[in-house]
Amino acid sequence: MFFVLKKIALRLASPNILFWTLPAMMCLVIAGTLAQKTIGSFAAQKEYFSSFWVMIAGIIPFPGGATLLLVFFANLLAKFLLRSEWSFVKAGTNLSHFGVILLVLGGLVTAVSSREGYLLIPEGEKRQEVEDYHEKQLVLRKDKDTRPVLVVPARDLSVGKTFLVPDTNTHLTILGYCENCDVLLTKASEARLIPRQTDHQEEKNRTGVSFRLSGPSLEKPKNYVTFDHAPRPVVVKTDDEAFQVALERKRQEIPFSIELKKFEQTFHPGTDMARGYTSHVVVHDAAESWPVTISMNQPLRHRGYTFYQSSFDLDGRTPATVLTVVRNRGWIFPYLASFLIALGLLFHIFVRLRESGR
Amino acid sequence: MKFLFLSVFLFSWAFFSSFSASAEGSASVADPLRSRFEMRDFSLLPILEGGRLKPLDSFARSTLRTYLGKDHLGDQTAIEWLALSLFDPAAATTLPVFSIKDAGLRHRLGLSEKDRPFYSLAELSTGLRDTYPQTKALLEKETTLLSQEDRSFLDLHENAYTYTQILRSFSLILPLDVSVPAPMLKKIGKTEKDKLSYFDLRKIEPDLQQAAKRVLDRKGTDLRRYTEKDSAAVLLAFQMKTLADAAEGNMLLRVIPSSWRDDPDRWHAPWDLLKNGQGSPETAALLAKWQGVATAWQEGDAEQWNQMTRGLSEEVLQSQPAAQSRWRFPLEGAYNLLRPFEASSFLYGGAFLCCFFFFLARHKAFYMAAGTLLALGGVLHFWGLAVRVLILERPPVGTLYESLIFVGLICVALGFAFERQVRHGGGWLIASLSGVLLGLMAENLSGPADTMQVLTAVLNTRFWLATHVLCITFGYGWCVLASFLAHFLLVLSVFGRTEPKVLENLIRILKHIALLALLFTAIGTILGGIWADQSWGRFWGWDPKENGALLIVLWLIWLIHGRLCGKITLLYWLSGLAYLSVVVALAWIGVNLLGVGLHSYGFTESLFWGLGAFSAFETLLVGGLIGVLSQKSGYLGRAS
Repeated sequence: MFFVLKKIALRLASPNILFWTLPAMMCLVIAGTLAQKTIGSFAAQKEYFSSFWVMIAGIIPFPGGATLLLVFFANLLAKFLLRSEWSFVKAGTNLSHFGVILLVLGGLVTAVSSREGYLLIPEGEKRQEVEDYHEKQLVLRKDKDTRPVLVVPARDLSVGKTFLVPDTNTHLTILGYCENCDVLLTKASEARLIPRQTDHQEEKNRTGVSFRLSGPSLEKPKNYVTFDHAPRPVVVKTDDEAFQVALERKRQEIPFSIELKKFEQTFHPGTDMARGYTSHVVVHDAAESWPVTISMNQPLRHRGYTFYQSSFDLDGRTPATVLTVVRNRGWIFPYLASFLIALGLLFHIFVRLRESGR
Repeated sequence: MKFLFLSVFLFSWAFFSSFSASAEGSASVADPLRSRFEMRDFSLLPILEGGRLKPLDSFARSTLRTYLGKDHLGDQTAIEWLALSLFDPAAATTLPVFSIKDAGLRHRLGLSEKDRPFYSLAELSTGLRDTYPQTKALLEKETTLLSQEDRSFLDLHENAYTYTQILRSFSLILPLDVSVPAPMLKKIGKTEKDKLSYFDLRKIEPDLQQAAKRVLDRKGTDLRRYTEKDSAAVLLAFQMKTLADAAEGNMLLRVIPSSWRDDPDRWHAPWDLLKNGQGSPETAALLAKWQGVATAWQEGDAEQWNQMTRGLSEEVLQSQPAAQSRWRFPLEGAYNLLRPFEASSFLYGGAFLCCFFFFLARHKAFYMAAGTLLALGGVLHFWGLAVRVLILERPPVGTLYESLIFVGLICVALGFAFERQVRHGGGWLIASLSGVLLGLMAENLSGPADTMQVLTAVLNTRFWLATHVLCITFGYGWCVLASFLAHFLLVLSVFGRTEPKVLENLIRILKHIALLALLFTAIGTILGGIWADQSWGRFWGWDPKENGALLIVLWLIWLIHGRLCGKITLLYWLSGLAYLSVVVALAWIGVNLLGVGLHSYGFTESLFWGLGAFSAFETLLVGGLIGVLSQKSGYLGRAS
């Protein structure tokens, strides 16, 4: 068994694998980059670089980024462990190879563990719920800013599906769902969704859902429509209580809260070109609170979460900051890897130059 | 740092002392009456434009380049043109400052054809007025749907508008051809002999408007009922109002510093002071000085001009809180005059010719001349970059133009270092050719606008510009050197006259260069990822620019490892390194044309075709060299 495994590992360590994987990677990088022009960055990343297989130009099957990186990683790891020459002369090469292994490993850890969302905090307010950039959900609450009583992820919003609102006898039935739709006002108080072609730039899509609420506590079943960025939630009154239904981005609570004291935008003098954005925030964690300044290129890192200044909203009455929140267990890998790769390459060049000097 | 500053400053000053003489000299050709006008102090007056303080000379040059495509108007320098436009706007409207190369556009504007397509504002005015409604419809269209002629049409309207703003910038202090009733003159302490400006009359403007209103209320708009006095009152009020209305929103010429010490970044255009209540006794005193300058210009009084511009310059610079203002403006003036990158490209071109003749004739004089020209070009090139660092107070690379300039210098320096190793002219050939090609590309890309630009918020970080950007551009430099050397080796092998020992030595050097290219591009790419992690919260986002950098790294890894494990023959290894030029060009410049991602500079047609032609040429060249060399049984065949 050991012999077979060793044989497989030695095969995996073959330089031939690297020699054929690299051109495939280059082809994929070129195809994925060009595809961004037509299908957008997010879709191209998902389709080409995060997938195991991709159909280039819709017809040519090709290994995706995940497959190629796994092959590359396995090949390099096997080569590093089984075929490395452990000598002073090869120390630089080995160190660089180890750095690359760490880099790819970090990429894998990031791909598996990384979570990303954002906090939109108006000045003077505190937030603890991070909203997802991509995932949406239909949420039913008893009141604004209270915990939801029912959450239906977007993937479950298929026509005909029915959900029972917990602790009630009210049913919610999905009548229609479209990732991108126009909202047509049929009467003063009614709306209809007209599906449209999904745009590859996700932020350009307006997702909508139509649903029916029925049950003994309702006078009669009634149809409703809600959509992204609807000006207000749908309000449903039953005999006993009232509900608010809205299509929201998926939210996740973090174990501390961030309060925005002030948001500042500075410009280059005499222009409307921004020189910098700064959020003066206070972190509230358990009984402790302390002020922090987050600005471009200067994030806040706390308890495994990182907060970056990514955008702002000055349209409302109160200025608001938008902080991207990332939880990435693999963040340290690139830092270590770049140090090792640089050190290894420098050492290797030093040895080569010394040898040729002789 | 101090030494760098001192040497750059002394060098600049030596050249800039000739600037006034040059400006004077050219002035004498343009207008004999103005031969004794010294333009130096005037040209160094600060103006706030494009987010930074710069000398008026820079503003004049970039503006004239935008309109005309060059920074002089016949024998007139840009600063003289600006002075004329500011202080004698009526005469300036007849200067042919707009270049309209598009025949369709000339026809659209109803312009008569000329030997050279340069037109004045006066000539354009009818066409611009008649076609103005078209601009609205075009502005509503998406930019990508506009034809080249439409774009030129919109640019022309925009340029004509900004030029009108320049012409009206000082209309509040220029003398008006008006007659003011004696009692009102007395009120402002003037006599009939004095020349009056809007600035002088502003105190009695309410009285003038009241007097006109009284006439209109009493006699209506029937001019036949007006007395001579009535007509004068209404006309004067109308002139004042027209002047003030025309200056609405004229914020272009920000030449008056804020008088509030806590707001040093704020500079005002003359009309801004009046319209937005930004005036103070200090700004009024400065405006009076500007008025003195304008009067001296209009009266052709050189002595007065020289004295007034010097006084104005001293006063404005003294009001600046930072001592650096003392050297910053002269330094930029010297930079404008010397045009270090154009000059260095010219010297590199000369060096290339000398190298060429050296290879033909093998005469030592050509070798020495090539080295001298390259060294001079390199010094000038370095000086230009150092000046930009000192003025912009940031590392030298922040834009695509700057990256081309920087990589050009790196290639020249590396070429020099290579020549020290080989001593047969190859290093100088590489240095001169890469210097001149990258210099020409940079000039072609720079456009008419000021190339010393302030950076957007995310790029506004000295640390990352000094680490990631310099590292990756250094990497590009090594790649260019590797590619040139690989070309050089392939061509040498085709002719087959080189000793195998020499080839062997060059290949050994090329291996080191390829490793260094990998070192810098790999580390630069990873540092870019770390910067992205700091700024956007992710190490790698598959952004086109990131992918471009990755492509170079993968290409180099493939070639180096392929050669090491014997999968790639020496011929193909050299060809791969030669073709690195295309990979680098696509990664460095090509990805910006996609118009997506965080590093997009937008699609430029000329760049697209230029890049396409270069890639096709290199493909044919490298393919052809492979074809020829694979048939030969020379050193490359044996070494494979």
